[in-house]
Amino acid sequence: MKVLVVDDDYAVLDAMKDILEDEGYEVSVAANGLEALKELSRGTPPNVILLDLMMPVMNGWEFRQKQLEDDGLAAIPTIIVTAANKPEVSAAELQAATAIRKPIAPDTLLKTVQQYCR
Amino acid sequence: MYRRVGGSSPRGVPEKVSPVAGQSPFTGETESVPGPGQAENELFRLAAIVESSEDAIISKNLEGIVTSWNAGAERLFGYTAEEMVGTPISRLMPPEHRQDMAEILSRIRRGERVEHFESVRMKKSGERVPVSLSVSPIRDATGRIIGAAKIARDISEQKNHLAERERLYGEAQEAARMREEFLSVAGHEMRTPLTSLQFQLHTVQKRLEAAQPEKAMETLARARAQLERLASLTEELLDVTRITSGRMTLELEEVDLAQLVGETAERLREGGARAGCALTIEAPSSATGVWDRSRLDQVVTNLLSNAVKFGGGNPITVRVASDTSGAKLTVSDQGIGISAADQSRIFERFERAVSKQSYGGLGLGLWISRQIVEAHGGRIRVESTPGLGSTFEVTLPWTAMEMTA
Repeated sequence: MKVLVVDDDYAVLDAMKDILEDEGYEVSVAANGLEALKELSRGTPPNVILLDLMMPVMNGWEFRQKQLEDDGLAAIPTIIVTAANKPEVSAAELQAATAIRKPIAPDTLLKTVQQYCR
Repeated sequence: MYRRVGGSSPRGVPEKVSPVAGQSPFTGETESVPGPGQAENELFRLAAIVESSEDAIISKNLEGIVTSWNAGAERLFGYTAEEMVGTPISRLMPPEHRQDMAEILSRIRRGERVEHFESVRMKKSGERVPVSLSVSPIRDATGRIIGAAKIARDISEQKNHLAERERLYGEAQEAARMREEFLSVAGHEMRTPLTSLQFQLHTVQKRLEAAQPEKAMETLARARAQLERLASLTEELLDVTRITSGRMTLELEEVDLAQLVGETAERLREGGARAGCALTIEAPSSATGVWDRSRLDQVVTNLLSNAVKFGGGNPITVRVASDTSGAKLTVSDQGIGISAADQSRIFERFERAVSKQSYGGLGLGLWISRQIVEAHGGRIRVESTPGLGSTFEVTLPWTAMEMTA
């Protein structure tokens, strides 16, 4: 199972990569929306995308817009991972699978990824 | 009707007030009819009360023609009784308040009183004055309404107090809004390293359980970096209180700025490389002055972190130069740049020149840097072109002037 993690904070990227890889996921990372689109344009698409919202270059909202415009990418379940309040509102606005708020209990992260990985 | 003739006695009571046209404006309010001598005394007593009033007391007929005008009215509006009696009261009406008069007169005709009606009137000089008006109908002996008695009070001071109170209330609301926003930003900033830390500790545990101590140690080292990040965020938050209460003091010692810049750059080199920003340092072998080492470290770290954050993945150059007056540090990036309008406010507290949807941060770094530099007796400034990059320049005298920020 493959997961794409998109976050501009390298510490979060590394930590998420470690935790998911230790559980047997194949993890690719991107530091912003533009890098994520590049990553998606090559190789096998991921089963799930973990998406931060506040990012430079291309933020999560802009990325989501581009993703939804592409039928192939739109189908990939996307989990919003944000430090902002009311993540459920962001999830609804962005038609995302769900949203989880930082800081996240590792079990919550793993369960959520498992739920949407298919 | 009364017209004042002559000046006032030393006690402020008019020396002479003469009834004009044999009509008292108070007919309707005098219930008992005194004898002839008493009546005259009563008339002069009432006239004296009217004359000595601080408020403007004016009577007018139903056509709006002024029939009496006391000393208070002279003081308030600047017209003498001679100028006003027999002329339309509408002279006092600013064009934008003309409708007031029709409304007041129609209520008076219906026998109603108008109390504490706030409006604006015009002085002889043309100056507007806010007034509170109380207007009562005047009746003749048969009870027929023949005019109106008006008391006008200058409420400029009240209005000024009210405006001042509203201004202070607005300021307090704005401060409360900023504090709310800041707390929300601070919470957001804390959550990011906390997230990493939580994941890292979980990973350390899993790796130790899986008998992978080396891999666990690697993760622990990263976890420590997140703890340091949380500690420095906490310090930054505490700096707000230290600076605003004037409690930021400098611990001065000999510091080599060139060496300090080299150490900071080394610390940030990996992050810079991941962001695609190569760091170049141009510095003399040493540039030693008497400064606060940890505070200067804070300034250099802030400027370099900003250069990486906003540098657009392009090279960053850090220069240290010196002359007889002191040392100069410049940090140049080739990133998104700052518009001229934003350049003036980025050194202010909680200000940021970028969208919060794209860039995190407390909005405090440059403000704290400025406070530190100025506490040393130095200066910080920026030159920038949007889309081309920014150069921040810090100048420091060789010996800090030990000023308290």
